[in-house]
Amino acid sequence: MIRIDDTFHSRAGIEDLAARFAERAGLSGRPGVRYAACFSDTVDWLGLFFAVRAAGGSLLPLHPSTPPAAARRMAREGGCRFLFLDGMTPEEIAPEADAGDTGQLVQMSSGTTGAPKYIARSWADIDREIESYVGHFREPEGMTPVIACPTTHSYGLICGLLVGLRRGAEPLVLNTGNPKYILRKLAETERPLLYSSPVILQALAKLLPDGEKIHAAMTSGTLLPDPWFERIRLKTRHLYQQYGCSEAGCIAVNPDMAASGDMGMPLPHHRLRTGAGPDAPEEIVVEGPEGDIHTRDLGYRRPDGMLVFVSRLDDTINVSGLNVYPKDVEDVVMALPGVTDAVAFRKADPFAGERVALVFSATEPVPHRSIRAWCRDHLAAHQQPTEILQAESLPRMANGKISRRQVAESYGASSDGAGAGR
Amino acid sequence: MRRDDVVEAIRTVLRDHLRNRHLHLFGPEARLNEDLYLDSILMLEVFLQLELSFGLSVPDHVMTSRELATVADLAGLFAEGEAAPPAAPEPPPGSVHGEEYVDIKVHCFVSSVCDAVKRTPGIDHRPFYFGVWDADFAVGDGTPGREWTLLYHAPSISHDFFRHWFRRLYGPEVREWYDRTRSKAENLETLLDLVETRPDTLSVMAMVDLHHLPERENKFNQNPFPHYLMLETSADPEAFFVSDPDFRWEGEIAKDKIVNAFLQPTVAGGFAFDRADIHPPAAADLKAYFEACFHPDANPLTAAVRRIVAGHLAGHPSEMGGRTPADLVTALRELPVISIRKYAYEHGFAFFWRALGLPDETFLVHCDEIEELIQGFKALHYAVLRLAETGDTGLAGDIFERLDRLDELEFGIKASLGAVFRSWCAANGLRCDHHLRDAEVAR
Repeated sequence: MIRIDDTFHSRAGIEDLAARFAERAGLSGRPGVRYAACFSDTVDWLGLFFAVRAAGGSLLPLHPSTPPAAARRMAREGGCRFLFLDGMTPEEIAPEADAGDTGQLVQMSSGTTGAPKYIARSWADIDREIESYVGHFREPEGMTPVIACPTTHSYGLICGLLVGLRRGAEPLVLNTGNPKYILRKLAETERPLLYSSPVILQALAKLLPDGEKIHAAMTSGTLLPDPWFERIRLKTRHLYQQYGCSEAGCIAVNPDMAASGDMGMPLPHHRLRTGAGPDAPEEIVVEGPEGDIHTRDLGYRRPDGMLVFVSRLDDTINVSGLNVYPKDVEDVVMALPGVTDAVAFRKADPFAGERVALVFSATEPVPHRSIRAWCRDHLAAHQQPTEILQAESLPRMANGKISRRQVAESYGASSDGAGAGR
Repeated sequence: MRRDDVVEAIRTVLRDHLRNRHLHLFGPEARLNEDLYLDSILMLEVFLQLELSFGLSVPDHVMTSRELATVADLAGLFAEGEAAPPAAPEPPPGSVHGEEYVDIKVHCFVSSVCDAVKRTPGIDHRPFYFGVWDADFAVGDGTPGREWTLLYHAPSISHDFFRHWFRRLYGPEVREWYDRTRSKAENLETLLDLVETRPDTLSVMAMVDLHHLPERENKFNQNPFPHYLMLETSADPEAFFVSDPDFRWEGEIAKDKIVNAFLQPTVAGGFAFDRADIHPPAAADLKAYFEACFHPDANPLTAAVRRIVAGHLAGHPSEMGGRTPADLVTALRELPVISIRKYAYEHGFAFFWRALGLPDETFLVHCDEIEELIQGFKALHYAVLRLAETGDTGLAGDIFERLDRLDELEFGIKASLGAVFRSWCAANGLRCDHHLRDAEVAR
């Protein structure tokens, strides 16, 4: 059924694990109850996933690097009644949380003012996406999906894992930051199709000896810088790209990538509105039965139907394909004693594409070490600010709003990190 | 490259390639995340640059950079020919890198020879356990009615394999003093003479039937229970000083009781070897030994149990010597004694983890898998007993599923072990026969 790193898990084994979860946590007979889940072990997470989906419950997956304090906060904000933290018995977070009518997958997406909002999609909607994806994107048939990205995120979970299972393949999930390990597993796999992030893809491309190629790879989540794209293209026999958002799932798939901005052809179950050409890009909008879904991305359609991405419209920070909502970071920093104001903003980064930068003010000098220790306890790995500055005060406009763009222009150019608190 | 050079290479990568601004804190003890601000994305870059600019290859079994805490941990992945764990502070209690790490006792012959190795400072006995996880057992010993019985001890099983490899790895010849062509009484004379005239470094092993030493715990309740003990004289002329490394027991036992247990017809055997000859094993010999012991594509124990259970359920009494499901009780009675040998995997992982300076966390993950395997065999044994006692053949499906799960688990453990073995070979500059291509070659 599924391989995780070096371990094979049979269907019976996963079903057994799911049954134990269902029994221990009393999942049955409570459709629509919303659970958050944060597991360091992938197989446990998947066991719970299948159990909750089968019981018609709702699920908010959290990245394995989420510290417990952050997991509880996100579970509460996400309207979850229970939270599973590396165990079979969930803790009750909000007894008053409403159960929905149907089971849903819950994920975070960017709202206004850099705050995250929680988006729920029914399992039926996800099944429709899977069918459309499998029917429209036929190239990977007969390949083995190798998923080197989080399975707590739609991309790895739905398009990597569930699509792979739907096609009758035996997906391989890798939990590693070691590119050599990924290469070895690719070498051991028959016709692998790697689902991963640009950062990992470029590392693999650099390590592969000349003349060797990865059978197939999918990229998503963030735009490949051109030099990366060139190198990866040379080192892959098939290179695919897909584009999507939390509310709509996968929107477009490109079965033969020729340029980094080419997101692909829209899946047939979607109707899109966007700009008409490179000179007049507009927001990409998905016209859904429930109303329009605004992606907050700027793009256009080419005459041949190809959807092209131009840029992001809001302040969401994209760290190596994972979104960070500035307000999440600001709220955590503001909770630190002595801190009076904080702004998180985007900073270009040669390795991750973008990084979280932070400017804060406080009643007295706060050592960066304290800020970082605090953030490590309250934020997931990709949300950690990598550049921290303390300022006298932060520039707010007359209405009290702060312009992240302006802050980024004032502070973004700094490169010596010479803040206070040294 | 030596560890210091690797540390220097890491500094260079941080300075020139990552333009890290926290190098004033750099040193072997510097924490990768807290002091140097490295996260998983930057660690990926570090791995990449060390490989591309310095030719330092990341071992391909290292699962994640999250488990590396300090620069020394990271350097420990690359440094060659230094078996010492990273120059980190004293390992925490229970660490695979510490010395008080609990030993494993699963095979009395191996425990006896390893006991001597352990008393030689600076020499690691763990690799000798490579031969234990799939050590020989027998199905039937030629006795009528026992054709389908799982046996950990049978005439067909000799310790020649272990004797050969002990000599090749560590030096001492394990001499068989017991002469099967002579009577028990004559062999007893040899034994008493050996113990009496023993030089201090000579270990004398004698096989006794432990069932006849009731003062000694017999946790498997086996009867007979062939077992090797090591004998020395004691201050009391009427007693031997007995050491039983396999059960972590030593003390004085009356001579006549030992002699009685030795004279039982159920047992015959004895070896002696001299500790003075012990030397550290060569890497090439360790590699050859591992390859001789490692069967990544077969699990003999689950295969044998599957065959035995199927045979008892097949309903061919003539072929089966008239066996019924109820006979499974005796057929698999010795399964617990054999299945605990799987703990030897722990020594296998421990050896490579220590040699490569890998983190405790990942070691413990493998220990958990091994524990799951051992407990799985216990549960399997219990399930078989239930079937045998109730006669409910409807339970057979569950038993075969358990066997399949144990197979999966054990193959998974073997895959991980094979991977770390290949990395260890690479770190020691040994060519691997099972060399895997790093990626699919374009045809």
